[in-house]
Amino acid sequence: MRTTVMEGSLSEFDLSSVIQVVSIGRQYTGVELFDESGNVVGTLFLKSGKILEATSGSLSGLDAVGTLLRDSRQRRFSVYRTEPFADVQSPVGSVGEVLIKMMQSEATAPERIAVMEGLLSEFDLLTVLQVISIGRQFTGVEVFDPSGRVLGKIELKAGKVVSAISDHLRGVDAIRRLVRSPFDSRFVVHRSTVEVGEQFLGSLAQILMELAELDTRWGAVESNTEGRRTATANVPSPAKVAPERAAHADASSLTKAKEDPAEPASPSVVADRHTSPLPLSEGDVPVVCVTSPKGGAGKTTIAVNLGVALARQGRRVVLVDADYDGVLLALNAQPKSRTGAFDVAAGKARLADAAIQTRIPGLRIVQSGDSASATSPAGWARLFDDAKAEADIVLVDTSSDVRGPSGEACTAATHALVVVAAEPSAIRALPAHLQRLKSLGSVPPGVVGIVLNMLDYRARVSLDVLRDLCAGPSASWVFDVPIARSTAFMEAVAKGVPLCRGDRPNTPTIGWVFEMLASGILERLGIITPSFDESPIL
Amino acid sequence: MISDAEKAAISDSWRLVVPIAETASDLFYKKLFELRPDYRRLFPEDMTAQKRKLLAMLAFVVKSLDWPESAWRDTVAEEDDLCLVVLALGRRHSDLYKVPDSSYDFVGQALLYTLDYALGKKFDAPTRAAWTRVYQLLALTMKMGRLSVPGPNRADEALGRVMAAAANGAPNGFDGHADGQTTEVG
Repeated sequence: MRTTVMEGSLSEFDLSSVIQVVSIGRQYTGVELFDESGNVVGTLFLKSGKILEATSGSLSGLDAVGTLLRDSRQRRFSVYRTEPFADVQSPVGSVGEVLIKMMQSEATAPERIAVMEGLLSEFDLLTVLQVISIGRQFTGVEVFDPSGRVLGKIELKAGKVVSAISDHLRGVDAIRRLVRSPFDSRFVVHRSTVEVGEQFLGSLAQILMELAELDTRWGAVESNTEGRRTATANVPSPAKVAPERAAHADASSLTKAKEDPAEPASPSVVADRHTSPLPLSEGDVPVVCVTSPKGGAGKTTIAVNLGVALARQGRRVVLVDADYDGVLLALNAQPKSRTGAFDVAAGKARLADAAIQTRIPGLRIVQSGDSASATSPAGWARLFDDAKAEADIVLVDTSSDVRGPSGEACTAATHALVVVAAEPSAIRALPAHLQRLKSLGSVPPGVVGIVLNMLDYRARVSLDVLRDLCAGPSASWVFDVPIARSTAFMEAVAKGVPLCRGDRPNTPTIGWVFEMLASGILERLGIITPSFDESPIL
Repeated sequence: MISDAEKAAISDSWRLVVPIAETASDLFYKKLFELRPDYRRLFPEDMTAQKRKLLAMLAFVVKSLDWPESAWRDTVAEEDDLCLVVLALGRRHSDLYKVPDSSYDFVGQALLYTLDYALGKKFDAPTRAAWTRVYQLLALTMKMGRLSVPGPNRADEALGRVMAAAANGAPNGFDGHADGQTTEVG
């Protein structure tokens, strides 16, 4: 039997008042607290001034009372009389004692001084944590969902994470969960002068790294699971079918990951970078198509400057324009009617007729040519084979949708270099783009890496992209050096000239980024670079 | 919430008030109307019944506070339950008389003044503290009474009976003796 005695909101009478009022009664009385949606978040049972039981989530006893007293503002409560308890051996304590204990613990856990509060949509939790980590106070960050429910709490001092809790989760798991709070969650930062013991989880930096690793590991585990499943299913199948199936399985796991944004977006791709479906065999020439999830990411510019840098490093480079808009044309004054890649891929011309030697030794380009020509993956493959015969590396500029002739070219390519503009929409489109690449042909191009382009160090959204990219499942693909947005870069693009000309003394600083990118790509492709020259300068 | 020592202080001091209860109730309302002259018109011209109600209620409070800590497991009837009865009383005050929360402060002042006056030296610091504490709790409970759920509640009935009996000039109402020998509601 349960008889409601009173109901109300704790905004009118706080929980301590309700408990005190109930404590003068001598009935078996329950006090229930509800959240916005009417779920019970805590219960206290009292009789004759004693708290018999208290629960709040996984907490019970004094801890539960403490939590309920602290976190119960705005909640609704209900007081009801209930059946006598059959067996109460050890009540939590008398209301007087308990409340005094709570007050003392408030007094000894020195006052909480509010530092700031705001919405995670404005500053995400990682940003907030990083800001706090530079301070030396004992600081707590509480996260509340839009309805005011506490999602969890992280405590830091002097860059160390002292504790983290979110429901039943503790430590890194709790942080991982809190970092993924709904974007319209609220955070409150307060500091206090509490003494911290020796125990702490780790420095914030370590923990953030752990988080990133955790994400990657999860991705790998997921991918391995897929792999095993495929392997089991294909035991009797001819071996050559396996890669196709594996590709398919990866694609499905990608789709799954994409549906749940809380999970690593494209884990399987990370896992098999080193077991690329097309490992470069000895002496094989890589054909790297430069792609991007969205247009305007700077593919062409990067392709050209990379080509220049590779050539400068002594590689023979053929740069093929497989973009039907044929932007590479801007690089020279030749009319577009000239025979180009599309004609070669359609079997209407020979590569030798289409390739043009640039002023840079070692760099030849093949313009797009007549984009109306009917091309095919086989046609592109033929073109690339021809190009390979005279090159150490073939670069292919593509259109962003990876469809049509560009898609065919990518299908025929051995590798893809993904260019991502440092803007949120680009990174959102990345998983789908990677999936698209994965779905190309029976042996899709292996992703050689991701280049972050047009990074604006002064714009937070831009830096967010860098951070998200580096914290995400594709982190290990990202090249160390992002390409900053710079005037020199844009001017060079406008003029259709490469940024870095080793033979000129006026190369802008940014131009040298491509040297590093070129080295990075060669390294990842396993192309042997000349050993370090150890001879003294004198 | 109320310690045994506080209960003892309340009970002991009340025992001294009982013989002069009528004077004390006169004093109480005199002080209250002095503090808030505007409250006078809220009460009837003849305050006899009102004063009895006050005493009956105070007697009930004292009586229902009188139980030793060790008896906390005892089963207590609803109509003897301080919390339930005072919640009902509070609901009555807010529903019927529209008493604002602020009035409880003045009532408290008047009560402490009365006890101080009536008890003289016996109203020492611990006794004052105990009454203050109890009154604060009662006032809080009465304020919270507006949230309480009316219903087939024997505390409500008991309160109604007490009030009616007191108004009719019944001799006992709630018994004022805090010696554990309870007297039935009149």
